[in-house]
Amino acid sequence: MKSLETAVLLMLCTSPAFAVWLGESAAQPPILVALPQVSGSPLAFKQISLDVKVVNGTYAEFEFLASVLNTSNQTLPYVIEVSISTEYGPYYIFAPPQPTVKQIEFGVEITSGRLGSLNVKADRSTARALSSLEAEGGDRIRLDGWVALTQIRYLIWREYVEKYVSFSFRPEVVYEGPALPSETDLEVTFSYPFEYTRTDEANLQVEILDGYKLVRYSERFYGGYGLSFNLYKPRIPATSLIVFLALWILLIAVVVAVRGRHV
Amino acid sequence: MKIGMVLRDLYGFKWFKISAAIFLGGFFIGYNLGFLDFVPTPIPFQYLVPYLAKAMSSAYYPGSVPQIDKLDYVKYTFAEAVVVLGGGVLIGLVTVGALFILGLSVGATLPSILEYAGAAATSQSIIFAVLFACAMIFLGTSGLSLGSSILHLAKNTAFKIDRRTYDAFLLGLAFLILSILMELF
Repeated sequence: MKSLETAVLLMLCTSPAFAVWLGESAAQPPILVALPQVSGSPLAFKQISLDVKVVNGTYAEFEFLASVLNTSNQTLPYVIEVSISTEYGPYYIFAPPQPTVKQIEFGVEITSGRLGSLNVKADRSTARALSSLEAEGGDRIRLDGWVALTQIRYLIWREYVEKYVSFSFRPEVVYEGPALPSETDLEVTFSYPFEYTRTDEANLQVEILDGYKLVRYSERFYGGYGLSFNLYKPRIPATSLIVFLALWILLIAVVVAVRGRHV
Repeated sequence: MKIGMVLRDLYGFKWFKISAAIFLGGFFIGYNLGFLDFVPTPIPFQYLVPYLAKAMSSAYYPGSVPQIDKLDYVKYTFAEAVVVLGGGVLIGLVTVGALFILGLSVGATLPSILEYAGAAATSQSIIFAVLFACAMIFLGTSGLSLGSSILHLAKNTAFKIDRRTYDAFLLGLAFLILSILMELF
């Protein structure tokens, strides 16, 4: 019992709490918590629209129009960015790796109503241009581009096209997009070949014009928008269908032959 | 002439019929599931036969380099043969399961190979599938017959094994070697 008391005493003596109690510890400097600064983005939009045309299963064009405003009282440099999704491969144990060298899959030209054609720097998946707005000034930006579409899921009965293009406007210094007065100001017009189906087509009103389906909808926009190409079309298998039919004919023949023996 | 007699004997052997029925039944189900796009299931049956899985994946991404080497093909094929044959000691239960799943695996890979792979890859895959199927069916025959002999031993005191069990084993081994050679070259 005595040894237990000694052990507890030793533990207390070596504990930092004991040192604090004795007043030997240094005074901790007070931690100052910086209050978050509430600041709205100086970029704002008046009118934005996106027009997309999927020409065929491998190629699509888009046109993005935006009227931007600088609400601050100083010149505002800002960035316009277009990114595409890079392909992913489904994880299979023995799946071969994706080829590393790829062709350019998209292109974009950015034109400012005030400054003319902007210098676009692009890498494999992102195109970026810098522009500026004078104090309380505005500009009209137009993005004309194309994107290569690829079939990434190979099924016997379906051809899928899945691609993602994102558009972003933001001040160069502060990574903060502009806020829109309303959430539904981006008007999207999306047309695609008649034989394709959009995965969300059932929720949209579809018009058919010159062999193309056309859908119009509004989307939220907070300085950025992601456009998904989720399209598919049915395909008729060839070789595997022959083997499939052969297997079933064989099965039926065996059943008929065996059944005949039991008559 | 002698091989012809052996084959005729084996054709009348009930374990051969059972083995073939299980493997081909699995193949039939696998092919139908693959053809109807039900292959991307959480259980990747197709990867039990990596030679065919490689052909299937390469068909999707032409020009890509396969990650698996030839030694892996041999290891997988040999391991599967051992399970099919050796599973007979558990009164054939493991053999039955392995035969069915391997049939399913081969069947599930073939539709996409036929649909997307080139002519050379398709013909190689078909030849391999035939050799592999023969090897598994004959080894399965041997395994099932072994299982029935063990069951017989449990009921009686004598251990009797049919001569055709050995024939099936030797034929299965020959087809196994051929399928491994096919994988290597």
